[in-house]
Amino acid sequence: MTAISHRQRLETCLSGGKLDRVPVALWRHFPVDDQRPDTLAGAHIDFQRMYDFDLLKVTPASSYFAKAWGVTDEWRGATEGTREYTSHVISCPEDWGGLRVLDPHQGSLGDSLEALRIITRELGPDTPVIQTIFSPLSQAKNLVGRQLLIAHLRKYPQALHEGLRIIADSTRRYIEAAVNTGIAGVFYAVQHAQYGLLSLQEYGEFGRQYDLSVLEPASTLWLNLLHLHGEQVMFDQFTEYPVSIINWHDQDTPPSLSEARTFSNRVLCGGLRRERTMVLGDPDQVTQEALDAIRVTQGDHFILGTGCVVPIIAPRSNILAARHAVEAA
Amino acid sequence: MTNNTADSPAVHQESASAAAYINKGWELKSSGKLDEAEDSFRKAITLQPGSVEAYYALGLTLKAQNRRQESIRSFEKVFDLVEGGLEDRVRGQMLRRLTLGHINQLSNGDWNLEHEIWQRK
Repeated sequence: MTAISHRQRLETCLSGGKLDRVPVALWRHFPVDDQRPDTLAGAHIDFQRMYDFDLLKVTPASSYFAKAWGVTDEWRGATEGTREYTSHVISCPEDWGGLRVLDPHQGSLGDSLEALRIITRELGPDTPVIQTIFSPLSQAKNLVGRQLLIAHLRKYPQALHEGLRIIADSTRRYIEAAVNTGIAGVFYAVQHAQYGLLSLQEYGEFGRQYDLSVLEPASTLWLNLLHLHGEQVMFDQFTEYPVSIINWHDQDTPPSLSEARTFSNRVLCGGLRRERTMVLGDPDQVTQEALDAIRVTQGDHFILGTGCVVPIIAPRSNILAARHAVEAA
Repeated sequence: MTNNTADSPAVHQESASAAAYINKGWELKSSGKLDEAEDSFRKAITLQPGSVEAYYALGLTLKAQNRRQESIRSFEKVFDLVEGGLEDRVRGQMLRRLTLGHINQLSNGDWNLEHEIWQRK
């Protein structure tokens, strides 16, 4: 039997066809390397060559948009590989209207497009590459800070809407440019659809309309993935979003994979715990958890993965175990 | 070979043309027109014989065409140019690593990322 490519396997998975094996993909941050396009690209290419996953999710520093507006951040050694924000650019409600619409070809955005070009050229058409895009509300958080965002949302809604419109416009322009780099889709990260942060009504007003606006230029791509970050997520509010795949912290928060199947006919991505299994477990535990997830989903419309980034301290043998588990299933 | 100096207008013109051929080559390659992409990258090399980008792109194109030995020769040329020193040292390191990976993979099927064991012939 001729081996099929990663792209063919994912296309088959999305269309509900018979698979040779369950697709698998893990992703991680690359601190320090994420500060230049060539080192960011090189780190991702090495990662893909090492583990041969079915898709490569590109993980730039979360600040790659915010930096273009003047935010600063710093690498301080977090195990997830994320950088700490050291300054924000929004301090009062009036500042939202002062944001400018970004040119996707300049500065940190231009650098990220260059990284995408290097990666897609290097890996070729058989390995789908998806770029991380943060929702406008997530980007607003990076500009103003976690606490102040909620305060502005409730106290100065019109000012925040002004900022969200500019962020959404900038993000749409960026995605239009990113489409031309050869990516297969976007990894759309939503961080505020958590009942512990916002009400359904608040997310509807400040999140949903901007999400749908931003996802519009990605509609020409075939491999768009929605990531619902955090705990107690509003899963049922997202089942009609224009994406093929939904990923959330399924091992840490509802719904479970089997519950989610009743909500959505999208491809589900998850099954592995990031900390307890991928970091603190051993290869046997990783394999067992992977096989459990494949059993629960019957390997149908399913991609084995973690609920979020794999911490950079995860042992190599555990990552390899996840990769090999799909061959054994 | 002309007697143009490095910063003469003629050299700038050739460099711009080479860049145009490289861009065109990438477009052709991404649409699967590998023969035409190869032709475009070779034209870029004719105009700018020291172009790391053109040789690298040619190496990838030949690899996609399964022309193993020719691809290795193109990547070896990249390696020589990179070893000669690129202005951007970090970019040079990335190209060196990627190039070695391709040569390893074409030679013995292993990217050899961890050891970079590679003997130049």
